[in-house]
Amino acid sequence: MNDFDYQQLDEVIHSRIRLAIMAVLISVDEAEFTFLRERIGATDGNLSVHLKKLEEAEYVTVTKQFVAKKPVTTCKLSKKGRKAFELYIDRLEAMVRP
Amino acid sequence: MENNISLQESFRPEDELQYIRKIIADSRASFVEDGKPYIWWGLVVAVGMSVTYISALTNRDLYVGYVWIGLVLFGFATIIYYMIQQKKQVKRAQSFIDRIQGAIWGACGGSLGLAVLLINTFQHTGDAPTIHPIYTCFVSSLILGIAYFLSGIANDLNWLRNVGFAWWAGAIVMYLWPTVHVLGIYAGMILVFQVVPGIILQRRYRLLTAVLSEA
Repeated sequence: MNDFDYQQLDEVIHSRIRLAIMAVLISVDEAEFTFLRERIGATDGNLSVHLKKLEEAEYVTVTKQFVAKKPVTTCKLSKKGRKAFELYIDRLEAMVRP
Repeated sequence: MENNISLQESFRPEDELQYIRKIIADSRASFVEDGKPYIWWGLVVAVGMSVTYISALTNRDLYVGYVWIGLVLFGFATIIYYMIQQKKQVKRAQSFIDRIQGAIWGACGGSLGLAVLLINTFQHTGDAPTIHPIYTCFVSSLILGIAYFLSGIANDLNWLRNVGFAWWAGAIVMYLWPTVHVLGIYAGMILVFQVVPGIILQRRYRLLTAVLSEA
């Protein structure tokens, strides 16, 4: 692979915030929206937009429910998302390899 | 794609991998153990075992049974209080390590409690085998060895895993040298290999939570 062949990288993940979302979600079973926001340091609106893109790509499942009368949004990496993230890492590592 | 333009201009796969590693490490750090249960139970058992040891050495009745009942009740009360406090904290993410950690200590703690209860309470009942109570220290050390070994691996902490080896080494000594001094050795081991790891975990937890809250 060419060192700078971006076409080989998954466009859905190849964005700073979406990459961060995927990295956080791969290290947990599931996480609330507020947890993601804190870990990534994004605004609510920005995070929502990027989560929506990941959800549309079926990389992330987003569940909204009420806990103690408060709305809670929970995000989880899907199997498809996990595979895509692993492939993304593989490709990055291939670029680094001499 | 909106972010890709700026990303590609300065894109270096090494930096990207480093960035991913940092985020994963930070996320995992938010699940680090606080070490409190290690310290509480360690102190409870160390006190109980020391009283038992002194009582056995001096041949004096120091109300060992009552001391143990009081200590175990105190231990359970603090653990229940701890669990209530943990539940009150908003847990905004769940991790596999959390579940594994709970399973390891639940299984080992249950086995340990059952072994101590059976050996000390029911050994003269029916056809139950007679095992000298001193061997509860040997059995406990073996089980604690398993718990620490697995806990160290689950948390990716080599020093915590090695504490498991220390417990197993202690178990060998206790089995081969089954004298009254086993009680003293066990009390010392609990302080060194239970309370001290708890303090180290507590310091690590404070450090990591401070770093994460600054980030």
